[in-house]
This record gives sequence, structure tokens and C-alpha cells, in this order.
Amino acid sequence: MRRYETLFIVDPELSDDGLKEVAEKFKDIILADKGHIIKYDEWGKRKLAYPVRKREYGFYILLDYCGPSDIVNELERNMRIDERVLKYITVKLSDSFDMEDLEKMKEPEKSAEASTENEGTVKSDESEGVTAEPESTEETSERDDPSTGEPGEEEVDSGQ
Amino acid sequence: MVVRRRRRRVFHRRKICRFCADSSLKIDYKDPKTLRYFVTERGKIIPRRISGNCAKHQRQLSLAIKRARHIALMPYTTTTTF
Ligand SMILES: [Zn+2]
Repeated sequence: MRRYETLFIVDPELSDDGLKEVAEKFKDIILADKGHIIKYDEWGKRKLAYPVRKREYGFYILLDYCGPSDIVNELERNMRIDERVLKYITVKLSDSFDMEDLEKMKEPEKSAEASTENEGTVKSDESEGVTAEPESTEETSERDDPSTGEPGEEEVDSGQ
Repeated sequence: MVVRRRRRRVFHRRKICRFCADSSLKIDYKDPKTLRYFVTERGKIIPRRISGNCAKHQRQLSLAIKRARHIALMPYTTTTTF
């Protein structure tokens, strides 16, 4: 699998329900194509640096996901024909991304829960797992920020 | 008589790549606030002979600025009327 992020601009004149519908549509496309969503981030309404299709504002949404390489084609094809999408850009974040990596992305929450549980229930038990945990959370917090100028980033395709 | 060749003054302010100097400063097309420092008021990319960026970071920077322009986070050019 590969990991990508797609930042796209939705027509801000849509209703809240309309926006939600667009977001769900593209999430579903990823899921239907055997992809997984790593992060969904609504930036909200922002002023565009230049007007796009006579709109001064746009609603920005960032999708961080992984999946087979043809997933981008399918997603962008749908964005291209959807009039509610003003613009989009996709960047490849990683060439090799597997289920294990995906699990690791999810782990910070889990391990945090686990460690608090441990502290609460087995105070006396000096198990090996507990000491290792603070380090692992530090590691993952770095990984949480995928966008930060990884030099390996590669623009895949860009619309319009 | 000694003809002194006028030497053109070359300003040699030692410029340093800001991204090399500060590793916490990241180049990201999604962060126009940082990218803004590296374009002129009209939105043109400042050459590295002025900004002092190293070649590697300038490459990453110009790519990021171009992406930011594409997704309307930064202007291609500011249409300021003079
Ligand atoms: Zn540098």
C-alpha cells in the first residue's frame, strides 16, 4: 500500500449537510477501493489566494489515507467530475505503508489508555511493558505529523 | 601614477539557510505562513542568492510554494495596482 494525502476545496456555498455529503462521498470512495483513512481534517472556510470559479472562499478538507496506487486515480476522477469540488491536490507521503504501520498510527491512543490502566490497577507490578511505553508515544507523536516536508514527497497529480 | 582599479564592493554577508539552521522549521505546502517569508510582496519566489537558502532546501521550498499556489493557499501573483 501507499500513503497519500489529498487536500481539496469544496464550494463553501453548500449547506452544512451538503458539505458533509461531499466529504462522506470521498471517504466512501477510499473505503470502497480497499483504502483506509488515516486522518480526516476539516480546515473549514478560508479565503482563497485567488478566486476560483468566481468563489472568493473555499472549504478546505484534508484526507490522509493509504491504499493501492490506483486509489488516487479513482478519487481524483471523481473529484474532477464533481462540480462541488473547486480544486484538489494529492501528494504521496509514503511508498510503502502496510497494515502494521496503520496499526501503529492508531496505537498512541490505545497505549495511552493501557498505561493509565496499568498505573491504576497493577501499581506494584513492575512489568517490562510499562517502562517502554512513554518512549513509544514520543515516537508516534512525530509520526503523527505526516506532512512536515518529508523530502520524499512526490506530487502525484493535480487537478484543474 | 597608479591606476587603481575600482573594486566593486561585494557584500559578503554570510547568509545561512534558515532550514538548515533550524531543523524545526519545516517546508510544507500546507503552511503558507512559513512560505510567505520566501516570496516577494507580489508573490514571486525569492531567489536563493538573496534568501541564502541552500540548494536542497530551495528546491523543496519552490516545490512547496508551487503546490500552495495550485491549491489557492498562495497567490500566483498579487495584482496590486500601482
Ligand atoms: Zn538548507
